[in-house]
Amino acid sequence: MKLHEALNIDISTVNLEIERLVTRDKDVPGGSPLAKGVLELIGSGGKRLRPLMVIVGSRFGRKGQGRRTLQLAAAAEFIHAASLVHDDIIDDAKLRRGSPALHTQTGVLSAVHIGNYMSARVIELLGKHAGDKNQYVHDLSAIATAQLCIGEYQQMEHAYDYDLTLEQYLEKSLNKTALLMATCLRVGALSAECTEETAAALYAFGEALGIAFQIQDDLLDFTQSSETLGKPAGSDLRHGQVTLPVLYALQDPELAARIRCVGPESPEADIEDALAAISGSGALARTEELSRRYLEQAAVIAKQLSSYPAHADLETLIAFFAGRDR
Amino acid sequence: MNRQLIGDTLRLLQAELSPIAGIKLPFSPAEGEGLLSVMEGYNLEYSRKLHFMGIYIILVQAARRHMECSADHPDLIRNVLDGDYLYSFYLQFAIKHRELDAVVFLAPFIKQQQIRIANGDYAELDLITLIGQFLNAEFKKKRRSEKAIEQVG
Repeated sequence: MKLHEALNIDISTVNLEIERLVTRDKDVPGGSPLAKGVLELIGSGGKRLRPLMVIVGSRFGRKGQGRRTLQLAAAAEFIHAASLVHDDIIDDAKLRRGSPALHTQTGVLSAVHIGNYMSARVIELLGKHAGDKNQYVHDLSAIATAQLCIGEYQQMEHAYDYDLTLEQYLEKSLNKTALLMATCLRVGALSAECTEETAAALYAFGEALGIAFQIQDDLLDFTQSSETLGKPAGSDLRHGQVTLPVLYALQDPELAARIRCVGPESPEADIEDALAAISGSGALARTEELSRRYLEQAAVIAKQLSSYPAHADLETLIAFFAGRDR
Repeated sequence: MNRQLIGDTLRLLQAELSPIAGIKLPFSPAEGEGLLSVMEGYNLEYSRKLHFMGIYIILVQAARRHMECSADHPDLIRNVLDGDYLYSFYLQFAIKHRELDAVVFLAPFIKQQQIRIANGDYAELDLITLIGQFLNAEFKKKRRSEKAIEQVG
């Protein structure tokens, strides 16, 4: 069963709302390269995790899912997709979900501004009805996006840094991945007039779930094939990203020597050797264990919210994230 | 006075920008003259002038960083990230300093500018005129409500 089915969310309504962000924009001619690029990107797949989280969040409010919730759900996907366009430029990735990355089709300058368009469209749309009382609608564009950039800066600063600490890794993961998910749950909840206390609990739940997600993402780079990933396997280490499996493997002196020789100019054989050494070690099991601990942390928060019928949706999210790598 | 305002704005921005981003804002006092002269037409408090100058500097710098994004640029990654961070910082800054109305006013113009550049039209956005239009609309609205109060009184 797909996640949106398990959550009893009509994904076609969500997808339509996302498409409308561009098709109903009077400033974008239909069939223009920009419209085509954006629609292809959002139509190319993805589980719509962030919009689903916005909707789940709204189920904790007294009003439930309304028009504003659906707009925020679409906005969350737009912000995520815009970040993917820029990520692909930063990582010099040629493929996105198995198709050519946007910048390979439009050129870098144009792709940067198509990503900007998506972010700017969200601010335009949500700003129209945002007063002093509901400034939270801008949390996705302001706080979550700024933190996402901070996570990218931290990743850039620590490229090939084999002395990275676990705390630094977790902070980067929080900024780069988890805070957007946490914000999705929170803004969804507030859009349905949820209490601040419950919104804060949902935010904490999203943080724990998001870190587990990022850890699993790091793991998938070692365990999945290039075909499944839609990008070359092992690409994190090739780009100097010191992920959790690498951090754990570095604790073994013999493995550390093989990993530390990997740099920006390393021959492919050295990288392959390090990747194989990490995969064959206990580092992957330890990585999975830490991911599981974050999911347990999320489960504790979900239990605290058991007076809400929607707490079952949080358990559905945990179950989905737990089974992601299998 | 003008130099002081621009200096104060730059100090405020540097204090609020994340040190992790490590962004420096190269901005000469001459670049702020146009906006200063527009703001002189309105009876704005010093702090508000500072906030509008801040919004202007952030948006100009964000746009410049992103215009420097080409596949062969040696600082491509830094330019993409700095532009992204500055656009989100703009929103944070404006909300913090209670200038959300200005964000709402500027939003369609900033969006249209992204569309134009994506389509290959690189003409700069005239932010000074736009901020002037916003201040003018705000001034007229205030006058209308003052007149309405006088009539009731």
